[in-house]
Amino acid sequence: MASLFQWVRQTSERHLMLDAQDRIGRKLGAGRPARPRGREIFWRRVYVPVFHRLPPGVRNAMIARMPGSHRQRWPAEPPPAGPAV
Amino acid sequence: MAKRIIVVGGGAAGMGAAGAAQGTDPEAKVTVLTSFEDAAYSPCGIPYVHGKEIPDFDRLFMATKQHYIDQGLDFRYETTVSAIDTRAKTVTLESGDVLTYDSLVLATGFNYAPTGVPGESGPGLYYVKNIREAMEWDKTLDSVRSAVVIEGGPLGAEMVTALSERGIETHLVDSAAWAMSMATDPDIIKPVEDEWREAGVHLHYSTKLEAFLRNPDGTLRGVATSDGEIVADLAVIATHKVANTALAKAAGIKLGMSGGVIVDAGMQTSAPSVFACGDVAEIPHGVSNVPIQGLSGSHAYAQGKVAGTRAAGGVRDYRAVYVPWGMMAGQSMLGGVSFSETLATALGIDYVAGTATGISRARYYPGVKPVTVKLLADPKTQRLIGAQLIGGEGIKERTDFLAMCVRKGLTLDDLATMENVYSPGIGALNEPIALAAQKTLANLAAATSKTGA
Repeated sequence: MASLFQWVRQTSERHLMLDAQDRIGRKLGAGRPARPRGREIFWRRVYVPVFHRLPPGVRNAMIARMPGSHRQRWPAEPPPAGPAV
Repeated sequence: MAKRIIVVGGGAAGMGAAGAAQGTDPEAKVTVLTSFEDAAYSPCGIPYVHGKEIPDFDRLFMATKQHYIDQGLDFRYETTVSAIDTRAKTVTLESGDVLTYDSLVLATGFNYAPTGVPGESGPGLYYVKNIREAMEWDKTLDSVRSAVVIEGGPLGAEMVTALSERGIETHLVDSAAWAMSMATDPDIIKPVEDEWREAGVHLHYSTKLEAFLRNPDGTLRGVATSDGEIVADLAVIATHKVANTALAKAAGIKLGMSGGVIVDAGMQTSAPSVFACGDVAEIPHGVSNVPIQGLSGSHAYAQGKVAGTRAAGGVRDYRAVYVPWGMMAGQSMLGGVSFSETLATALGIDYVAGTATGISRARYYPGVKPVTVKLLADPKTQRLIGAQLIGGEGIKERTDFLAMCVRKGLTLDDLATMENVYSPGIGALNEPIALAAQKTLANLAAATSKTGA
């Protein structure tokens, strides 16, 4: 099961990044990634838009449920305390 | 009876763990197992020896083998672990010997992700990692005419710079649209790319590697790409780091979605008395909470300290990471922390960005260099979520400072009104970070007035 989540994470990350390069490349007048071909078309034209349409709370909840170190014990960052004296 | 602590791996994480374990419990018997001939050297320095900035490989070693013997560590080189039994608390070596532990630290590091294209097995492919192999490759570089670097991540960028400085015709092949695309935006990396092009480097972006091409005798002839063939007698494989979890996985230790070993703040794995640290482990990101792996040597060492302390019965915690990074590429220094525009866009995180260029010293002081700072902040709270920097000096210190700002949740207003050191030889009147924060606030005000929000 863990390897399925790894595959989903890896594939999702790759196509989200390529889509982001496309947008930022266009915005800043820089190079853009190659157009998707074959199976990439599903990820770039279907998965990525669906991912971005999900409310952030839903996306975060899905990530939170996936297996990983983020589900373990981690100390919270203490709030800024101001000057010492 | 003295506590038996076994550390598997002799890199930054393993050495941090061994030292901390010994420091926490001086009576403990600490054994370090490494499959390599050496330990405790800086693999990050290898590209700089290739580029001749560092004259020899000896300088990359932190200490002699005798030093660790004197320190009381039981260091076993060229010793490969074949299995771990977490119930019996044993480690089986390839030789057949079985060692028993009270605590085990896994610091097994990373492998480069396979390219998955034909011709990957064979000579002419250089994976920058082992210092002995690097020494041999360094001799080869004198006769290399043309080299191709596969992927423009941090190591790829360093190797492109090193090979071109070595006078080798250098090609970079990357399926991404610009180098360092996982951490930088194209406007930040552009000066480096201009410097590379000026040095004669050929940049093949948005280009897929399709095969390694071989001569009839098996030697490398070049690579086939989606943009045509490139003649090369050396290929540097600088693909992303994949956690080396073979031992952990076989032992039934749980892995996370990034592929790294799941750990908590004490670097404790899912198996009792087994800890993991460095590139084999995954750590949650402080802003997104998404677990990540494949961080820097300083992260690995700090995690090793925590794992070693805990393995010896002490108390020490690690924190979620914000991932400050920095490097030399081309003639520039480059750095950053957490989110770029590209990464924020990929994850659907709302942001406001602003960029400003200042100077590193007083404008009249010899050696003054430009410093460009790009900041990203959450538009609602104005808290900093990322930064990128490029310039001639003072990049590392600013990056470290900005990493702490992200971690502590400082706002654009905090940075726009920051006090800064002014002294002609070390700092200018206007701090580039403050200028960038002021610009980002102005961009936010303009966006707010446009939307009427």
